[in-house]
Amino acid sequence: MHALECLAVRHSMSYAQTHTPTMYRSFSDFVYSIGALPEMGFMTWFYLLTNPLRALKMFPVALNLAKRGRLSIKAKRMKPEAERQLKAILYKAEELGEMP
Amino acid sequence: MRYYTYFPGCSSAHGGAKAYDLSAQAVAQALDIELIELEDWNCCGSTPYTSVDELASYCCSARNLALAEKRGFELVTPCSACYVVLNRTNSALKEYPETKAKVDEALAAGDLKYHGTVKVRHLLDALANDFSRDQITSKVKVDIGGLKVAPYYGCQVVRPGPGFDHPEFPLSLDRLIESLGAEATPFPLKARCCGGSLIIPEEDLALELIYKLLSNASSNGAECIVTVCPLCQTNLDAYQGRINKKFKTSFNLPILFFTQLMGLAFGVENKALGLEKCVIPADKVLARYATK
Repeated sequence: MHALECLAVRHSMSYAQTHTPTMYRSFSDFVYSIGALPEMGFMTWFYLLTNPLRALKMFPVALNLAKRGRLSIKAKRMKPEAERQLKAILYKAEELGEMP
Repeated sequence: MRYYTYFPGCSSAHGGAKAYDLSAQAVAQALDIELIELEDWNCCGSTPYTSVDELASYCCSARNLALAEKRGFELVTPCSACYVVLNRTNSALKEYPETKAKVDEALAAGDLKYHGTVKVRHLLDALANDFSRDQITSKVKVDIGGLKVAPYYGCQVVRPGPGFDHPEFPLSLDRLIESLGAEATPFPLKARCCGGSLIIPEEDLALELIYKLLSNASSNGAECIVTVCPLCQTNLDAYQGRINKKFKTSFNLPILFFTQLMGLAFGVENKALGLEKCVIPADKVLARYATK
């Protein structure tokens, strides 16, 4: 099932109504850029890319989490040298191309 | 004293499941465990990164494994997704030499090397299997006898097998609950999916799955659900109001991390367990038991 999902995402074969591939790509972009997933930033970015109005629908859930200190605005940042190391690894992986 | 290298994962470290990290640390202290956080770890990439770029996702995880290897301890994570992804990377590097060659080359670009010696474990595995029932029971200070708890494993921690427990009918969490003095209720859907991150792009689909889980736990007499996964906790806890609205139900089931239940039984203060972070308050259910 997961293998099929991977193929669908990589070859853009999903049906038009789903935003799952966009979510997966947004997630991956964050990991590539900062090596972490800031939940608030990721969700905001995802809704901006897909349907900003849906973010309003999510507001009560987000508020409930924020009130309990569960929606952090600040992202976890790695040390600069660690971030550089991860970037070098991922850049190389990109250079090496797809899986054998 | 037991030592483990600790990989909290994004959600437990700084995100919505901070209570998981807090309670894991508190329970570790009670059990004489030192969870040494892996320095400068990066996100494991979870399911999304694998789907978008498999090689990059392996490299991402391999960096964490290479860093952990320098420590020499087993790598323990409380997050089911991190557990699956780190383990999958370990297996891929062992089974596919061509993949390993590419990952090695990428790691070398960051001056790292991974020899494949790190054992990755879920925190549930470590706490349920490295300690005997007597060792756990001897730490219990608060009588939670009679508390009916639905043990929710979620779909990732026991799959793909063979892992540390049965993929369809796992029992390690049930046994842990019983050793704390509480009652593990029957929960036929205990290893089923909650929808995970699909709650974001496919909300209706995920809500349907969560509804089935809450109905199943509730109809079997559970007073609360205990889970081992940060995403499951968030889905079942934060979306319960939405479920009630959509399905015209009145669920009010507190969703706790298993480490919060352990801490509670061990007499750890509520604040140190992050109990106030639950969207569905646990106070009413726990009022029958001594809480600080």
